[in-house]
Amino acid sequence: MAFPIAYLLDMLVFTGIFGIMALSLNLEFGHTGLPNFGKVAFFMIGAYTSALITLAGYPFILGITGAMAVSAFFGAIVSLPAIRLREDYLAILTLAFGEILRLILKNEEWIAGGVLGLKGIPEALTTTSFKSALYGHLIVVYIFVVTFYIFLRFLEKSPYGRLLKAIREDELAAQSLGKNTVWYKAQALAIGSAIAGSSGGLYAQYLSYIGPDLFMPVITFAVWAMVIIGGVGNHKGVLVGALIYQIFERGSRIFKDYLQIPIDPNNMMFMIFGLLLIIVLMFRPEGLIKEEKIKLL
Amino acid sequence: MSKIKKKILMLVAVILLVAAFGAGCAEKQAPSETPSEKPTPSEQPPQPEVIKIGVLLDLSGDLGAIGQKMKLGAELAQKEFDSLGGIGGKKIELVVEDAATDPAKAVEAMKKLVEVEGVKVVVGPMTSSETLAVAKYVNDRNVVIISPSATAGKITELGDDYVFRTVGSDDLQAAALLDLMKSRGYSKIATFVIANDYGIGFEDYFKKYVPEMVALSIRYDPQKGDYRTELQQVKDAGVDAIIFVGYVDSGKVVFRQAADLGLDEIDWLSSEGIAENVMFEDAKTADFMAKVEMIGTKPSSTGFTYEKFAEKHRQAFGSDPDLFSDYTYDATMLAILAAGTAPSYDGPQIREALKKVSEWYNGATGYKLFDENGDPAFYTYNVWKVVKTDTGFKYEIIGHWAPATGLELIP
Repeated sequence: MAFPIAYLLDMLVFTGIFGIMALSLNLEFGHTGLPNFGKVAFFMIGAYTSALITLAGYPFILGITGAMAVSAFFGAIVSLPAIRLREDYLAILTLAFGEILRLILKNEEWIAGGVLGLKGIPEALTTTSFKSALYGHLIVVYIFVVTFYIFLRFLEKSPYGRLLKAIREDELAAQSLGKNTVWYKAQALAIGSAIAGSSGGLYAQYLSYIGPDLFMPVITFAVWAMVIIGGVGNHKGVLVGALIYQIFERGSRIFKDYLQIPIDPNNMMFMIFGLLLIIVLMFRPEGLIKEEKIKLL
Repeated sequence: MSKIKKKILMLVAVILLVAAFGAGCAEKQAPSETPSEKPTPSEQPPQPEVIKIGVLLDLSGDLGAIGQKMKLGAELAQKEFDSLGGIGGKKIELVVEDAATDPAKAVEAMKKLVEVEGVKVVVGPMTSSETLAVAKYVNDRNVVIISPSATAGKITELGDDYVFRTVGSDDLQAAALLDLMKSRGYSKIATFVIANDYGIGFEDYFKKYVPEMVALSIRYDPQKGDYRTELQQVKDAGVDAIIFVGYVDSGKVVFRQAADLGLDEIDWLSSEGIAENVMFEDAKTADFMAKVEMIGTKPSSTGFTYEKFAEKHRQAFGSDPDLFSDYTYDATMLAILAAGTAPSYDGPQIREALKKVSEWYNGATGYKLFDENGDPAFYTYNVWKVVKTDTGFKYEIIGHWAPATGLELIP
């Protein structure tokens, strides 16, 4: 039977999964000032790692842990060549890394199925009906969202979070205070990548199929758009950004049934979203929800 | 003060958006909700007054141009039934969604069709990765899908479920091509394939069954736009023939560059991906294809049923049918017939009806009996050859291939 609420719940699951990605980018870019343009790479590493682990018969929790560990490892490794240089280099390096990795996975069948990817990935919870499965997914995904949100809020308020912000504001000043900024930046990328990896793992078990075509660079830019619109540096904001993005994506599909428009609804969604991005950047560059001030007392 | 105001304004804007979206969902749902609210497990849902057929094609993105043409095939099937007054007195409504050549979008659009529109049978998706991506969901939700163009061999493995297709597996066409190659007595070949499931499916098949013949296999990136290095490799390898599997856009570039490199000494074989008349719009490409007497295979589009379909297509849209629009037409016809003859508009019953309908349906692309995997059981490929005529160029049919009969060349 048609179950229209399922479409809404499905949207919330996607909001959660991409919200986790947005949270991780917010830690990297919003707080530490590291422009990671290869978010999709870590998302993909997480998805593939967790899929391979769960397909081998191990439980979901091990899959997610593995996904986070492998993503964190790559996050730290990838940054090494460029982290000492200006941010621009890191942006280009991560962007290239994402595409290279996708092409490797696409062409090397022995790793994970090549172009056709992996199918039949076990879900986190075994359920009997479609409805209960959907609610199950919603619960699982939001457990991760809430956990990461609390963790990142805690991190933000801790001395460690302040240090990351100090690096963002003035790396030289942080160095002059005796902080090994390169080391902390690598840590931030590793933590961010681990979180992005877990969202990849959630994505893989939700769709139960992954293939290289699912990890196009456009995902990176979607996550960036979520962070920019929601509010750079504010964890609550980026979650709102993720929700707005999903609303636009799904909304354009619904609205096209009511409004006759001369252009393709899919393209129209990108146009309107692009316009929204420009408006936000022009009139509210800090995003919908501003970064909070650090309270020392 | 103003800050708080702004914040509130923003919040309101967001809430409005959400509300508008929710309203959209609810309003759209209202008509189709009524029949679906009543049923209890024992009760069967009544047939709705309008039979909804989902159509999920790539109307934008890389395959957008092909998808738009395929949509015409689906519309033709609907028009035909509507001109007869529908099926069993019920009108047919096509609910079209765009998968944007993106498996993630395909899943999302499929969910919209099923959950919001209440569709139980869908024509699509187009690509193999999209089909694999939606497979689990449609099986969970008991929704029948009939893909008109997903050709990957891996889809066969999905087994007895809700996934059907009117088009044959790439493995079958690769077998046809292989027979054609053998009939010509090649000992060494090079494969030159597009780096996606379509191209790699062929490459894998040849590597699996005739590894000793494949001297060189190249996968090319369609976005690259320059293949001189790869073509030079083929030239240096000294092979008897090159098997090209790709699409029109990149095919044109490859053939032009092959002409520049003087690669017309060896034989060229290809598949349906380039067997379209648009190839001849470029004079240099056309000359090259005619010069090397390029041969290849493509899903059969001959016979009186196809001619009848082509004629109807010309009458309705003023243009010849394009690649896969005949398969889309057949998939839509089967979907309509299955949904119309099923005792109720319900996934499992439509699936059973579809199997029955497929036993006698003879469409634009021939008989469509499904085997236990949901693949067409009878399948014929045409063997074509590019020839130059007085008026231009054309793909001349020089033979046929079917799993039962093997290769038959017209003398």
